[in-house]
Amino acid sequence: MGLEEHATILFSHVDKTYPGGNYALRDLNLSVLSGQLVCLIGPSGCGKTTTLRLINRLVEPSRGTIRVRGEDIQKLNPVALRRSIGYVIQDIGLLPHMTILENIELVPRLLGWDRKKRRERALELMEMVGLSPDEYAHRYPRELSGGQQQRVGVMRALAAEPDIILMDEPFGALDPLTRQKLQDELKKLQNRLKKTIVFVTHDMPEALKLADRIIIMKDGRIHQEGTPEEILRHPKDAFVTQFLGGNGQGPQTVADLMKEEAVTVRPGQGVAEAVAIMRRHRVNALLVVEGSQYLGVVTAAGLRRAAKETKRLADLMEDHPAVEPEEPLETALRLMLEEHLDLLPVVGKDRQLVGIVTPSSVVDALAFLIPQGANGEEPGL
Amino acid sequence: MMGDVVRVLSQPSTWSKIGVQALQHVEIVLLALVAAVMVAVPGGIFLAGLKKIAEPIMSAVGLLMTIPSVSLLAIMVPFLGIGVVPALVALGLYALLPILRNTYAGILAVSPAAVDAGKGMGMTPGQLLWLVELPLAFPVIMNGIRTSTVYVIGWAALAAYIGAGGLGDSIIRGLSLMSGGWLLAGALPVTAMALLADALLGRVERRLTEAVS
Ligand SMILES: Nc1ncnc2c1ncn2[C@@H]1O[C@H](COP(=O)(O)OP(=O)(O)OP(=O)(O)O)[C@@H](O)[C@H]1O
Ligand SMILES: [Mg+2]
Repeated sequence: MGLEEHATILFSHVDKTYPGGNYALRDLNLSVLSGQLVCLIGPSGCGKTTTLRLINRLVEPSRGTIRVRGEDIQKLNPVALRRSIGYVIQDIGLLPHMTILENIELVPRLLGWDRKKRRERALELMEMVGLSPDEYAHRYPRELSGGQQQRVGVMRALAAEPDIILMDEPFGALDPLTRQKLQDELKKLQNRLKKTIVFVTHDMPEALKLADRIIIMKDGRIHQEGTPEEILRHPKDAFVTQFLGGNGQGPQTVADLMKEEAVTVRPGQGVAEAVAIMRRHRVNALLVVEGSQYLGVVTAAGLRRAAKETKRLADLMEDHPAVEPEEPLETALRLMLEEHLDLLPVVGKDRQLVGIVTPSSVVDALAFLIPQGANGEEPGL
Repeated sequence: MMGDVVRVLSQPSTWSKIGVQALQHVEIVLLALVAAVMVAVPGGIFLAGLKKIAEPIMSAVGLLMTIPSVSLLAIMVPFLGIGVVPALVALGLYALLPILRNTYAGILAVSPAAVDAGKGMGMTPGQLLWLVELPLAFPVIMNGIRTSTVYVIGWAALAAYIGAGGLGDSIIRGLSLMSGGWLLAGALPVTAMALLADALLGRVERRLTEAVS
């Protein structure tokens, strides 16, 4: 109980019934400590969004009390409460008639920051999430891709530097590379500034990577909660195991598994150069790429066999199976483990190289696919 | 008749008269519209917040709009006499209806996601109205204003019958003298005015629609 008294967010016996509906939440008890990042995860409709929206009073509880920073929120002014809490909305919810800059500056503006200060803050955030202010500041949301809009939604929530941030599937629409970058940024931000974050996700690897504590919800109740380690080691039942092991969660496609940085050479480069690059990067195969188009693979064995007169890599490049990022994880695992390949290029449209699957990425995937715990091994994260 | 058309239309004195009447006409139209906007926009906003009582009121408004404009003008006379004031009241009432209806519908049609976002970021109800609901409903409100403007330009010509002045005076004169020249001298500027207003306001409306879509 001592810890709970210091909780930044504390739910006691909270029920929520929507008009005409069944229980959306039932006897929810939940505490989030200051500076913690807690992930809410669970199947669609289990009450994750409802839980978030109870915290900033966009939804009122049917029973029970909620305390934020020690105060019963029923006694607080909802407008002031909401301005003090960052909120990333599930369906992004940018205001269509405001530019990107105006959207980001919205909460600082409501809080009465002066123009210069909020402009500086907005530009700083745009740099952080990789949206060039020159290009995007004065555009409207409809002129951005889904992933770009989502980043704007995240910036809007961070702009007024709230100490509590609610994020409802904030990275769902992002490509793997941007997603990873923003996850890293978020984790840094949280560590550096001690933000208290409640983060809703459908993606177990994301929860395992980010969370100090994971709360698995089911049918409006908490099904299991613990640190990522505890959950990996002692999944409560088949429901949790299934969550950990794919079946709609965890890495599912090649894109979730691949690494973006591959060691490449150009077809016009020479054999000696190729050997030097292999030595430097400690790899035994190189991807041959022209422009960014994938052409083939040069292996150490191939280099050794090369006739003395072979000068250009183009002449000893081998055809090699490749996969597309949208293909199921299973395809990549089968090729790697059963065909005994050492690497697997990942190519997109027009055979553009987008990444590479290596033995170590396969092992990472196995960490999710094979339930850990029984034998007490370290989870392979 | 043809001879009359050429004679009347070629006289400079005709056009100086038409110039004065056109100014009067514009004046009546603008006064009626400004008054209508000032009542109908707040009214529509207010009704949008009270859905229960709003529905019957909006149906009544729909009924009122089916009263022919001549009758409405005539009805004014026993109460307010003749002159500019009763004409303005009748035209204002008419102009009010499309604007009221569109303001109401426009506010109700604002996407719940946008309202939710505004609320979630910590807007007060007033800020929600000014920063989200009104800007997003503006194209629809503008559409109501355009409809009203075009109607009122035409009806203002009828209002000359109850002494409002304006281009309707020339039309009435043409009718009573059987003069095609005076008829055209009055009717052409009214038509041009209506078309011009429709085109200009239509452009504004499209701009606004683009800006919020
Ligand atoms: N405004 C509402 N009115 C009525 N029922 C609602 C409302 N919002 C949510 N519900 C119901 O409450 C339950 C929980 O919904 P909630 O949105 O919290 O789920 P979720 O876990 O966020 O789901 P998802 O992963 O699909 O976003 C669902 O059964 C949903 O249908
Ligand atoms: Mg949800």
